[in-house]
Amino acid sequence: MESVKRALARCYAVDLPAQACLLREKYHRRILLHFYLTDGRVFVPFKLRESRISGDACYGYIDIGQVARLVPGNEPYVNLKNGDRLPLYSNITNARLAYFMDLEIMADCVGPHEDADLDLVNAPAVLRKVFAGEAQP
Amino acid sequence: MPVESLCSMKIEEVHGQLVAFYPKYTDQGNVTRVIYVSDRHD
Repeated sequence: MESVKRALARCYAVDLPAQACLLREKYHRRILLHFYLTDGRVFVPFKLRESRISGDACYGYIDIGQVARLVPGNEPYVNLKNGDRLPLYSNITNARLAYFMDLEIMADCVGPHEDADLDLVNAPAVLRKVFAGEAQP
Repeated sequence: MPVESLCSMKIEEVHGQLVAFYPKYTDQGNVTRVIYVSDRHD
């Protein structure tokens, strides 16, 4: 699990320990497993299996943008937009808290994805504002 | 097209399409399963 997470972070030049430190401070949480990438994706941790051996990882990560719904019930599960279902091994309340934490991180930390083409489209308007500002006393 | 695969592939090849990854017990042992979206049509 950790090797996948590290490989993913490497692809986006993300310093995971530093990011985790910043998130813990920002949200006053002792433990916060969420992480985000520079392309705007935020990954939320869910308990997706029961460990058979002490020390085995139980949490998996899902891109919040791919979660269709958290479905409650005796056997709660995460419904993904591609139709897959992943069983949840935490109660639905904890899963919802993780989900909402993810939304907060997305709102606070993840800016709109940069679009070079859009920058070019907006460039004339930006320049007009700059020159208009200089022309005024 | 959604594709699910055991984590034997390079993450570097699918990082942009990665949807989820999670630990799973299988006959092969303790593995990380990766779900990613592919444009590949079989």
